[in-house]
This record gives sequence, structure tokens and C-alpha cells, in this order.
Amino acid sequence: MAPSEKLVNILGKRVAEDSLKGPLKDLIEKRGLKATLLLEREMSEEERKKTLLRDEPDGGYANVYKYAFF
Amino acid sequence: MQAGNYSLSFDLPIKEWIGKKSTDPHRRPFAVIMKSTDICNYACHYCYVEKHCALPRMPIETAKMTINKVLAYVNPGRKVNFIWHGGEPLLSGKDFFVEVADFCDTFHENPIENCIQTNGSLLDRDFLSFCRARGFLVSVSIDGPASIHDIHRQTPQGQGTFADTLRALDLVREAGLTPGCVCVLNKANIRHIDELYWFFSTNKINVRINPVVRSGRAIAAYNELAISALEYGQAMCRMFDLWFQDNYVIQIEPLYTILGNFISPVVWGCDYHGRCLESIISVNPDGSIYPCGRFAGLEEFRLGNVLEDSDLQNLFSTDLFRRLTHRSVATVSGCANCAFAEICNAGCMITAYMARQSVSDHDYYCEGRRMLFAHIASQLKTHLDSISVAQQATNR
Repeated sequence: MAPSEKLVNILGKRVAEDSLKGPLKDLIEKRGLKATLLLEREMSEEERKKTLLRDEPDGGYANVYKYAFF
Repeated sequence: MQAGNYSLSFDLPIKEWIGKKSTDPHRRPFAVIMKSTDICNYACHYCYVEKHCALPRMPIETAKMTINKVLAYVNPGRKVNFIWHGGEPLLSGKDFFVEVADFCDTFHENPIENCIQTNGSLLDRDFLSFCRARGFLVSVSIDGPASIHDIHRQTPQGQGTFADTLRALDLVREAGLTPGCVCVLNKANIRHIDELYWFFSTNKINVRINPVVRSGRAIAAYNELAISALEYGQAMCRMFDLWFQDNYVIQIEPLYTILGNFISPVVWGCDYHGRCLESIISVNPDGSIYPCGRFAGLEEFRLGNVLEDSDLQNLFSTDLFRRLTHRSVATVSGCANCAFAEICNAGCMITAYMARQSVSDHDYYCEGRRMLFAHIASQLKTHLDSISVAQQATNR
């Protein structure tokens, strides 16, 4: 594994983020999961501050029904 | 159907794997489905909207009063999402939406987002230029390629509408907007899942797939439209496989949301978090308020009227609202012991009501949903297993 690769922990599995399928990589970004998923020792202090957990959808959803699905 | 043999069974310790999720509605945007018209220039066979409102078009004053009351109800900072729906919302005309945009701009304490769900027939460059300039999102209804789309999405004269819909999508893109799309899964397209996927993927169309609901015009034609829960599950499992293997060319809902709900601590999507009523209302052209767009026009679910009720908070303390919100994993038979309870939360009460006239019953598509959840869990675990990094390796 290259030193620059980021390790994330998804459902108990440590994986290299770049190895994840596209939708999972996107979900980590869109749902702001880096703060909870990225292993502590891989994160800089600045990165830790930036990646606070979001609780709501952001503008990255390209669909009208990003909030209300019916 | 080009779907494989998918099974409801799975051998993961799934409940522990999913863990405990949050569904706090107050950290979610507040969505308002604004039925700006109750009329349409198309006559799609499965439309859940029927003319049920004495007033075919929402007056701008009603729209402004709704916006005003919603903004007064939500806490400062909470995002508000107005979804302009119909009928065909563009029958309200551009001036209506310009006034809406101007009025929204007078509120500064909440982020406001406007979205339009349209059949696309009335979209033109001028209107899309306005959408681009004022931040309106646009979503178009499309059911797949022409051979599938034109079966049920027709003009009142019985003409297929595919060509006009594709033209609309091109215009949306030309305006620099990313279109969203809604596809209704029904008997005509459910046996063509591969064809559907490749159509949306090839044309780079992000799509939300909704199973047909037995309401409105769809009631009369239900025998020709209906799909079973099992058929829904099989079709969506197949769709998931195609999408998950295809390097994420397009976004497909609800697959994206379900996958996210597995890996995130917060459950999204009104079909899944079980507390939709606390963050959604629907308003008819005459100002009548319903818990959701699918209940629109059903008198027994009418919560009130924006023109009569001074405060939205009052609507959320009525007996009707309490009765509807009583529905939960704990009250719906079979949900409490379901392995997927944390990411399903008893599903959608509207599908339950439309199928069996009871909001207390389980989601009509329950069996298919469980099949899909199990399949996604299994595929996700296989994928994570295949790329997991052993602890020893990372310590070297």
C-alpha cells in the first residue's frame, strides 16, 4: 500500500479509500463521513477540523428528490 | 425479466452490522411539496394526481402565504426545500415562479432551495435561463427508452411523449443544469431492467426509481400497472448489481440512499427514516395541507389550510397528525423483529394505505425492500472483504 493512501473504516473493515467502488467513495464525501471513518493517525489536525460529520444532505445530490422522496 | 434469482435469506449478523442509527428530523431540511397546479397537459396512465381540487392553479398569494408560514415555523438556519409539483407545475407560467423566487429572496434566516418536477413539455431556454440564474433545480419524468416510456406517458390524444422529454433533458443540460429524473417502475418496464439501466447510464441521466402506487388515475388501470413486492425486489437487486459494477456513471435513487444508510450513522430518505411527517408537508392549489403529496386530495388526511390556519405548529398537534405519527417499527406488525428495522423504519405508510386502506399496515413493498436490503448488505460485505487491509500489513 502506498504511504499516501487513506485508510477508512467501513462497518468494521479497514480499507484503502481509493479501492472502494465509486458510490461508496462519493458517499463518504457527500455525507461528510471522513471524520468518523478516516483513521485518526492518517488525519492531519487541519483535516480533522474540516471533516465534521454532517447530518443532512448537501448540494451534491443531483436530484430534486434529495430530501423528500415519494 | 433479466433479473437473477435473488433471495430474502442472508447469513450476516446483520442487525449488529448495521448498528444503531439516528433519524432526528430536526437536523434535516424541511420539504414542502407545492402543488402549483392540479392540471396537466399529459395523461399518463399511472398518474397519482387526479383532478381533486376545485382550484386548478395555486394563486401566487397562496404560494407566498405558504412560504411565509413555513419560514415562520422552521428554526433559523434549517434548510427549506420547496418542491414545485402538480399536475404540471409549468402551467403556472414563468411569472409565477419569478414572483416565488423574488419572495424567497426576502428571507435571510434559512437557506431556501426551489425544485421543479416537470414532464418537460413546456421547458424552454428562457425559463431554464431563469432556473439557472435563480438556483431552481429541474427534474424531468422519464420511464426509459421510447419503446418503454411511450407505453404509459402519453398526451390526452394518446401520443407518446418520449421525443419531447428527451428534448427537454437536452435543454436542461444546455442551460448548464444537471437534470434529475423520476422513473415509475410498473408492469411495462419492470421486465426490462437491463435496458432501463443502460438507457439511463448511456444518456448520463441521474434517476430516482419509484414503484407505482395505487392512487389517483392508477387505481382504474392498476391491473395493467401493478407490480408485486417480490417483482420490485428482484428488479431493484438487478439494478443495484448493474449500477454497483459500472464505476458509478450515474446516481440512482433509492440505491444510493440505501447504500449510504448502511455506512452512515444517519438515515436519509423519507421512505427509510420513518419520521417523514415531521419534515414534509404538501400543499394543494387551494391551500389545503396534507402530510405528503400522495395523500393530496384525500379528505381524511387533510391537516388544514394555509389560508385558514394561522400557525403550522397547530397542524402538528392535531389528533390526525398524532395518529399518523404513531406508526412505527413498534406498531407495524412484523417490523420489530426485522433485521433491517434501523434502516427501514416500517417503510412508507402511503403504500400501505393505498394497498389495504390502513396506514398501520406494513409497506406494500416490504418483501421486496427486505430482499433489496439483504442483497445490498451481501454485496457490500463481499466488496469490503475483497479490499480490506489486514492490520499486520498496515503496521509494516
